[in-house]
Amino acid sequence: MNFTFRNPEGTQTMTPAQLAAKVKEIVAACPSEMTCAYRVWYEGIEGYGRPTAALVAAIEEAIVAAGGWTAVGPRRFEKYGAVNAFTNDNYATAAKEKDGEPLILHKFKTGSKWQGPDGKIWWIPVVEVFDMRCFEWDGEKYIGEMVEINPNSDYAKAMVEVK
Amino acid sequence: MAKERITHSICVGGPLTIHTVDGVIRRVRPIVLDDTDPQGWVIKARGKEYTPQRKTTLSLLGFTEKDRTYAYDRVKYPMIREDFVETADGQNRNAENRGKSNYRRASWDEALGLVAREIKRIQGTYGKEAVTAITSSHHSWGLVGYKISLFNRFFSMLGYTRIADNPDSWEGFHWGTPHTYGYYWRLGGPEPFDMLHDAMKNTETMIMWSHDPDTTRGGYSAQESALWRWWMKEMGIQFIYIDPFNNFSSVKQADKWIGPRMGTDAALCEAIAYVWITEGTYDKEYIAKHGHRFDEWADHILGKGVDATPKTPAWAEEITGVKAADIKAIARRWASTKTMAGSGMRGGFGGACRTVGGTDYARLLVSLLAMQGMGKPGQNMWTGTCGAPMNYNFWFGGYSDPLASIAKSPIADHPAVNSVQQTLYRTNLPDAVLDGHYEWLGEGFCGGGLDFEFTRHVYPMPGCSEVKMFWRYGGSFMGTMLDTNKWVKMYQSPKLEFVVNQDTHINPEGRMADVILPACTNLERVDIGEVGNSGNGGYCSHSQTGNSWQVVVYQDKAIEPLWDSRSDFWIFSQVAARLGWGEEFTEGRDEEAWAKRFYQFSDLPKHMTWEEFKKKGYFIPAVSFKEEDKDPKTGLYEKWDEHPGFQWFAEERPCDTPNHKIFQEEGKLGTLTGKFEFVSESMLYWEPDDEIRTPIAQYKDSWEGHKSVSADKFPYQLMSPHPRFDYHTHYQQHATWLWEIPQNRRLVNGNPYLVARINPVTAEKKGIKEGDIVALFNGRGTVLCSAHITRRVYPETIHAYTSSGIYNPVEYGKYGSVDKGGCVNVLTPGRLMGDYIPAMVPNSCNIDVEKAEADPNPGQGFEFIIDSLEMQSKFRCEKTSAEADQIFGEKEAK
Repeated sequence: MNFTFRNPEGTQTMTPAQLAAKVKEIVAACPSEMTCAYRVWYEGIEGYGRPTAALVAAIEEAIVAAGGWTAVGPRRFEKYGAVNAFTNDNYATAAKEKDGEPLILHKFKTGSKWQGPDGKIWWIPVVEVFDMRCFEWDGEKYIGEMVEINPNSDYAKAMVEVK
Repeated sequence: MAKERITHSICVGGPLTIHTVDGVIRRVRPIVLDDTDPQGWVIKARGKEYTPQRKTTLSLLGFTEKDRTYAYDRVKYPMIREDFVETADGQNRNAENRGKSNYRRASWDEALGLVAREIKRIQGTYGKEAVTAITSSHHSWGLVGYKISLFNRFFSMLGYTRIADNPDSWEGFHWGTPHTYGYYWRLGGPEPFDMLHDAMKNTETMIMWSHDPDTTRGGYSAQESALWRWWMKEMGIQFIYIDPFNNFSSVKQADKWIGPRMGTDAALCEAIAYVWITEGTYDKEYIAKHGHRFDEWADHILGKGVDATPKTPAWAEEITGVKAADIKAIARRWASTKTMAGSGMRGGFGGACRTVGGTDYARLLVSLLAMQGMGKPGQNMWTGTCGAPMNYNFWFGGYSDPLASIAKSPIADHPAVNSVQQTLYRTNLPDAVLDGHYEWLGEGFCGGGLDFEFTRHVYPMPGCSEVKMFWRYGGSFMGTMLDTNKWVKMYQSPKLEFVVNQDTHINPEGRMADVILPACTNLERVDIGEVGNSGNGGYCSHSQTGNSWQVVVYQDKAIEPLWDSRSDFWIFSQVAARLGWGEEFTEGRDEEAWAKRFYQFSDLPKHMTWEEFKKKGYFIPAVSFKEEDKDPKTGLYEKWDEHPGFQWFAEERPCDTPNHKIFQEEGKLGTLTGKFEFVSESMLYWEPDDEIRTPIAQYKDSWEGHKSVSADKFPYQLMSPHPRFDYHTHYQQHATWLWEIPQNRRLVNGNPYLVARINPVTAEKKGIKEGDIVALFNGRGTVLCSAHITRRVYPETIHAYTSSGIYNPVEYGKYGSVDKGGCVNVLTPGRLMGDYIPAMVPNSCNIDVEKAEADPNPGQGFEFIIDSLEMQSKFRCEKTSAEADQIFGEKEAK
């Protein structure tokens, strides 16, 4: 079944194979940890209107077929609500930068824990583009005073996330 | 010899320095900076240098803090309604007399014991969700003692039905603009960061739409931004004010005032777009890169859409009343000069967005900004109030930032989590209580996601009880919610078995309670707070206010709590103790220890010790802590780390402004496509059948407005913008000298009638003269005001400020009684903006006006407050200073 839709280039008709190729191209360029069919549709294909259920299913199938993405079932996206999600298998090792600019929020998430090169584990309650504030974590709770770690410092670059 | 003590605090009017002599507050003033405070920023623009005064400022309201503390209407003692009966089953308690009955003084032990017993009884009988509670907006200040922390911790630990706030001051932006440019996490508002510098360097035109900055200032701030606007005026920037009321800022500053008919601003926006499209004067390259479905929208503007109506200036003149020539002139000026434009006090506010067409107007305004290249130098969404240079690397968790609540970790060792899922919605609380059923969409403030706007709620939740106990904390929604006569009906319903009011002052809702708990003001307790960065009431992080200086304040106790009042911390702790979890609530800390936690979990310890902070009372971070940024000759910081709002998007680089989202780092907006959506994909995705918030924003006739059926009976439109002499129901009723301002109120028979502004044409038609008492009325109620005849409003419009803290019905406690307190929200419609938009629309309100007689009864309907003053002379509280008592004795004698 072919898919006909509109986007900025006009009315498009794609075969499933053409759609899959387009989706593969889009998800390959996606730097995020998670995506979904709607994100591919709106941001990648720039489709007009809400996609049909058949089109969503085809895009989801294409995301898995593209490789490097794992279906994890419904997850909440702030823009779309709870929809089928796919996690990026290569996210942990991917470079968190765009055009040479660091993507701080892609790397450090609020509430996450990271181990520094000195072995200390840090809990991050606050992360913004310039402010990252951490507490040392003793395995059960935070300890000590709040510490500023520059997210662009060599120390931060050497930190490894602790799951 | 008199002993003077100087302390500091914060209020909605700015940071305070307080002089106390022998235990009596003698004076409040702004903070004057000393040599140990940092140098201010310096903006070099157009051949001149600009730097802020070395002091903070206070608003008019801030200067009333002393009066407010010693006000005649303070709640002085715990009080219990005289005819309240503590029945075992919660019935037969004379609920119908709420608002009518007098009160008797109670001891704290009696009042707190009653409250604790009722909580146990009600939650034991009906479930935890049978208790509900809500805070005021802005009656206090501080990270420990205000709603963000203390209230949240207490009620979360208790378990209760939360009442979600609606974004009452900026409804159209909150529910509208996320569907055009994202920013739902900023609740629809823009990024003001470093906009002052940008504007002073580059901007040629300021469009102040639905904006009276000298009145509303920028939120929690005083008059510092008035100086910025003066600088801009002085350097030749043109100011165009668009507002149905030629407001106080406009008459002073406007090069041009445009007064559109109420609720028609969307049509004006469309006509401006028409001029740009037909004359080719918009940024085509920017739109091609950053716009989504612009061509379809342009077709709609040009009349090639389904309505086949070109949105010409002549078309808009018919709707708005603004001359087509003026519309063309605005459009051409905007397109040919670098222009900043925005709405209301923070760029995304203003009365125009609190109309039925509020979301259309807000979305169209953003669309216009996009058409001119929003984010390019000098061209942005900004209204001259927020966005002074700031040190973004200084971390202090102001309201709504992470680490800003004692309910949360790590400030608390054990965070508080509410175990009840059921919620209510503030605007329609009376409907829900009275009808026993209510359904609505959205989470109130929907900063958590676009999806939050569309969550479906039903009250009561399946398996849950209706609420039986209401704990009202600070302020009065009689003056800020709509169609508020129904709040009287709600309070008098026996379905509410028990009502507690905890407040600093007797507010209109206080008179509806069974038990009144006297809280002290924030000048009588210890706290810590911040203004400048995230001071906007806990609504969204990094929501700058109109300050030149960011100030962190140790809010020291200037005096002991007056009369029998106690701090909110003490009150909640005492109730928690009676419920058996007092220690868990406090975690063994007093107010100062909690305040110190906020100090510890900030960057403040890098700059001063706790003791130094307490001694000095405040800290001001320099715009830069880098030595290399300091000019060696002047010692001034002439450069700093700048992060101009929205420029990252225009320049197609990862977002570098505070409070941003992961997708912004990828160069995308918060819309579904990541672009400006001229046809909203999120509306098509979530609610394509919404007839009010359509995928293409456009002017629509209002269900209450100049063309609606009710206009035949009520032909005038009430304009009730944010007030000049109140801050939501606070300040004005406490500081009676404000009533002496003739632009505000006029005393007739002892009652301070609110001024209503009426055009001479209307006045002549109705036989109304300056100073006459007039009745503003419609099918929902009647309010008596004092007429001020002025051409600052057009004949169809009648202006009377909202948020009256005085609700003063001629017949107290009677539903629908004529009000002489100026509580114009008894007139405004309770209907929500649309079936899918849970927004209130006070500026879509049809009324009529007639000359009336003043109520012969003297006084302000505060008779029982006077009674309590009499009681005061009999029951002197040991904690009240003798001198303060003397002051009140004098007042009483008058």
